[in-house]
Amino acid sequence: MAETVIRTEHLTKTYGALKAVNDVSIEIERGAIVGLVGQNGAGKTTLIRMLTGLVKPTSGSFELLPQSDRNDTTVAAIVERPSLYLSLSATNNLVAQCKLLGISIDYDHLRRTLELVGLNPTLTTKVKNYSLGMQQRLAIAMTLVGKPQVLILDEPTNGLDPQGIHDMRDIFVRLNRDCGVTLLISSHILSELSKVATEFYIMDRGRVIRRVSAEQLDAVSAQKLRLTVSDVTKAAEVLAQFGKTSVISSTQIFVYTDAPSTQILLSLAQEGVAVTNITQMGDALEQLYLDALSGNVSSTGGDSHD
Amino acid sequence: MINTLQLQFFRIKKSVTFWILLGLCLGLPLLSALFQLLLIGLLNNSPIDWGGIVEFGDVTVAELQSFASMSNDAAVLAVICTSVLLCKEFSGGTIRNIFLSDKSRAQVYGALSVVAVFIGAVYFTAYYLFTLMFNGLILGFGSLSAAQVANACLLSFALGLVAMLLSQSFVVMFLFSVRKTAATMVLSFVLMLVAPAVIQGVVEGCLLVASVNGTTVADAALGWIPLYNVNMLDLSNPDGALIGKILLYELPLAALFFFLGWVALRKADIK
Repeated sequence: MAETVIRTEHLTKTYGALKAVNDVSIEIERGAIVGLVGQNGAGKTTLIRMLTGLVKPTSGSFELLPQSDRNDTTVAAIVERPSLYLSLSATNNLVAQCKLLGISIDYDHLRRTLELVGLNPTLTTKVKNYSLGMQQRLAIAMTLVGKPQVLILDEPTNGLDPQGIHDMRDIFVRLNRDCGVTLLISSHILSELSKVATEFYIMDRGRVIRRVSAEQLDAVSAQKLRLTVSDVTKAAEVLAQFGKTSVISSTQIFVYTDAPSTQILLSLAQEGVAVTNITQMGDALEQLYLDALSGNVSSTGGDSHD
Repeated sequence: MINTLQLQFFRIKKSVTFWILLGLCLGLPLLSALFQLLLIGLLNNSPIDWGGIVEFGDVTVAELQSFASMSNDAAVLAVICTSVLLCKEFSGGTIRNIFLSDKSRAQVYGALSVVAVFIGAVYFTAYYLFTLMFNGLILGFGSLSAAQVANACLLSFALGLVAMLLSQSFVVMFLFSVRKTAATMVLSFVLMLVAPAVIQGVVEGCLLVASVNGTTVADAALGWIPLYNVNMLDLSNPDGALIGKILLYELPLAALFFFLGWVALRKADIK
């Protein structure tokens, strides 16, 4: 059984009457890439702030790596926005981070780290003149300089262009695959998160409302098709043989299936059901997320956390 | 804590603000000595009677004496530099990197407090030495003997360091309480500049009333008034009891403000 590297038990943080994080108990195993999903104000950032020691919990407890494994470099994080010394250059920011972590300054390693995140190591410009995307890349480089075992990233792709998002995704996957780094990533971009993470916690109003494993995600990764048909009742009967269906209006119906569209259309035509439109819908994580928020637990799988 | 200190010293080394203000610690004493030379020359050659000839050496002693007060120029520069440098850790969010690197709050607090005191000590020492040098060279030490000059220097330097400790304790307290550069600077200035001025105004007002009523207040009694008593110091003829009273207030007050800073950080949520 894999070792648990992040464990929270009934973690709660209140601000006056507001419960920003409410009784959250999660466990993250070593080597996992875990996505933390939720709307604005769901409590993701507050949970990460507590895990990183920036905010004191009102109640509950957490453990971030066993104490015997903890040292200055084992955990790194980006919380909300890049934390950089704006009046220093990128290289000097990394030098500062090395000093903070108590590691010797190897300029070759620093140069490679900057190149890894797509920054020019010879650039001596002060970081305050960088774009948000460049600052975000540097912030990620800052977290990597100490070669951490656990990386906690709050919206790490904020401000990045599509190429930057793609590059970061590659970096995270390589860190996990090649170095065994455990990642906890919060993001609003579900499509990106679903390409990286193997496990998800969905948060809403301070609570973790569902945990979704990779297997559960695979189970609902079947195509979701929306069909506009002449007779939804008859269509529902026909489509039941292909997978789960859901009637959404007098003319539209969803079907979750891996079957080829041509086969579906043929079956419907054979039963005299006319199809005027067929559309492939969003990804599985988005479906699970929306279902979790609407309280629909049974239709698509996943563990309810309440 | 050592790592955090190394980081801060690296930042200090790279900080333009630190070096500009340190440059002022050299420039201002030189300008001050030259200005006083000019002013005293003008006064002594003026047809108006200013109550006798002003001795250059007296000005040097008065200048050294002013270092014993926490509202001296070096302390002002130290407050500006400390507020700018350390508050940036909070405003830029880099304080989070420090906490994340497995440092306890006590370690972070200790390191940043040491940095505040270090900046104060560097500015004070630089300002003091340059004042001593320029005033000594340009204005001299008047009728004081070499032994008296040495005593006056040691005493004003030691009391100045204690006063600097007190003014930097204000900065540390506000730094961890409000975590904003402007607010930290302004509130520190209020305590280190306005509070002694108000106390002095009140005391001198009361002394004036007392003299009108024909009563006198003993210096020994006035020596117990905190932040005012430092004005009664006479470097050419130091009073051990008065020095004791000054330290009796300044050291515990500094400790209190450092403690309040720690209380503010201990359970604070860091943004």
